[in-house]
Amino acid sequence: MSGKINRDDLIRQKIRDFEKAPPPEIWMGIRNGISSGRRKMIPLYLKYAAGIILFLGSVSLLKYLIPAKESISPLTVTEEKAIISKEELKSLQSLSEPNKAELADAAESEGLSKEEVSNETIFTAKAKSSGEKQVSDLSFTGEPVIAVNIQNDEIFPEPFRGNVLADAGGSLPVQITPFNPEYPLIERSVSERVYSWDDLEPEEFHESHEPAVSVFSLGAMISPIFSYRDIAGVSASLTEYFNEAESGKFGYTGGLNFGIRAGKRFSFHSGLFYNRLGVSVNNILAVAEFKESWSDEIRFEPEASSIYLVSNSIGSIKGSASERAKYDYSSLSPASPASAVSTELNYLNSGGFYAPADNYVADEGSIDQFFHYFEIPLTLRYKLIDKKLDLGLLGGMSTNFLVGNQVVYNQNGNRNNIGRTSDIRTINYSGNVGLGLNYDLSEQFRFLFEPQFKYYLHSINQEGLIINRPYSIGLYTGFIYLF
Amino acid sequence: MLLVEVPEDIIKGCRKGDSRCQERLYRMLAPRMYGLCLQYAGNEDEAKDIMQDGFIKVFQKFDQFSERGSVTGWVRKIMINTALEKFRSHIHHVSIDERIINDKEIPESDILESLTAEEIIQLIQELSPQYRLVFNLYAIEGYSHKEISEMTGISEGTSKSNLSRARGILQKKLEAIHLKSLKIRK
Repeated sequence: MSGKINRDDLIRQKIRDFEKAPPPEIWMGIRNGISSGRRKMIPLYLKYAAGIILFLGSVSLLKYLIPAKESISPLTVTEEKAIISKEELKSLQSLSEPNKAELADAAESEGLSKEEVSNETIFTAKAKSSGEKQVSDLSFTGEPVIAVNIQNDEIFPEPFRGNVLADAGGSLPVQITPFNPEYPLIERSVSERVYSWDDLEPEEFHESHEPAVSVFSLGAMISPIFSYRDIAGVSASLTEYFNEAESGKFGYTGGLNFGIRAGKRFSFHSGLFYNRLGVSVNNILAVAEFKESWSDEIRFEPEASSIYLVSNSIGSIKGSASERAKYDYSSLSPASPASAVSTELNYLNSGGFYAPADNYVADEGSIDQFFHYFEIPLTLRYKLIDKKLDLGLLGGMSTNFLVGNQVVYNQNGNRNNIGRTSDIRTINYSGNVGLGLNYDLSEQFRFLFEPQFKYYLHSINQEGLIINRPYSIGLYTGFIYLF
Repeated sequence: MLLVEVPEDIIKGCRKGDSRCQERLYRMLAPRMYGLCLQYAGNEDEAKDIMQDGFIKVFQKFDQFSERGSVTGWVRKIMINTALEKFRSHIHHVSIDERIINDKEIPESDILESLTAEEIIQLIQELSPQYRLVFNLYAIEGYSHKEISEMTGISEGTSKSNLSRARGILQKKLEAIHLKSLKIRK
């Protein structure tokens, strides 16, 4: 013992008057703390406001996290509904007092004398009741558990959660509270792992016992999307014209999603999605040939001998062979449909198609340009909040393969497929960002709600004079299965 | 412990809340108290927190200081209590590799004499919070296990075993330093 005392004295002599200049910012913090009358310069009303907001937020969140069926009131469990059998309970009760051999072992291993070792150095468990088993009212997991008190006010004052394996076999989902009432139970979940009584070492209690984590996920998602485009590379006046003439369209997307977990909060996802994007173009003039054999009534039949004058920012529209469609994408000049008609009729009269100018009638309509893609995304997801209701961020890139292209003419409620837009890039890449709201329906199933924004990185057309990059906004919903 | 003599006018000024007197008092005691905070903290950031919170308490409660006692001693007690509050407010874990070793005969005076105060404090900082706290209160401040039990809320037995473990770990670290110094000499 003298060696220990000498050492203590030596250490005391060395460090008792030790001085070190503190960093200057400490005095700034002290001064601010004194002048405001509070620590950390937080106004009192802000503290109260933060407390109220936190309380309301917690109450709101609890509605999502706590299933409605949970009961937190004590419940007496009958034999039939018992969590453990009476034999197991007896085994647990028999472990309540350490025997002499355990005390001796603990003394030897801890390097302490027998007098220094007491119940406080060895964990003991006592069942809360005998005979009828009382279900704990401390649990918020929704599952009945048995609370046992452990004589545990030694060097590990924090609560312990875990399972205790009774000698009779089987596991007891227990929630163990420390003996010292100053350390209230703060953990709610119950571990699935099982330990044998012999394996219980003090260090064991500091490991977090988390259930096995699913690595893979497979799911399906759908979403309505709103698509439009961003144009560049032309004059301001033409940009203004196209922005007035064109508008976004609602489409849809759907597909399968596959994910791999990469850490507690990160996961990578890919899959295969089908997307339908679109743009509406107004100021479309359909010119129909007026046939002399018709009666006074003018009949407008878009399928026959129709000429469509289209000015749009994406590309040329090619009609079917039976139609004579004229598209005005490349000239970039039409300021109004009227002048376009005049220009076109002049062209026709000069050698295109022979027809008197006054045999043509024109009608205004709109066209919808649709583009169908198969998308292969590669997305990284990061969980900001990892609870039953997760909140996360997602971002990544997609490869989009053009698989369909369609132009539909709308006029007076009639819709007709008139061809497709030419020179569209067959592969395009998009950048994707979004928010992820995931709700755990069960251990394996999860509901997803993810608003996402996708922006195509290249112009939709291959060699257009106008750089036209589509983008879409969608509300992706779906389910995934974890395994 | 060497006490710092604080002039009477500074004490009176601090009672009135005079900011200049407060700053003068702080400048006089800060190096000593920061050294104390480093002893109780696990790292510099924790020491800064204890120091800042402690001095704020000192100035907010200065009217409770009895002029019969020493200002330095009173401030020191507040610092230690602040460190205790920080200990109580956090859940502490014991490192797995902190195990008791048997006492061995090592020339402890030689080793300790060769170490600076800052190096010894560094060794103490490396202890887990429970061990460090009990070691500081018992070995440095001179409190009994009963007093430590009342201050920290742990039992006397726990206080004793914490102290024993702390000593054992410090001994192990000193032994390592001793062996290293032997190798260097060779």
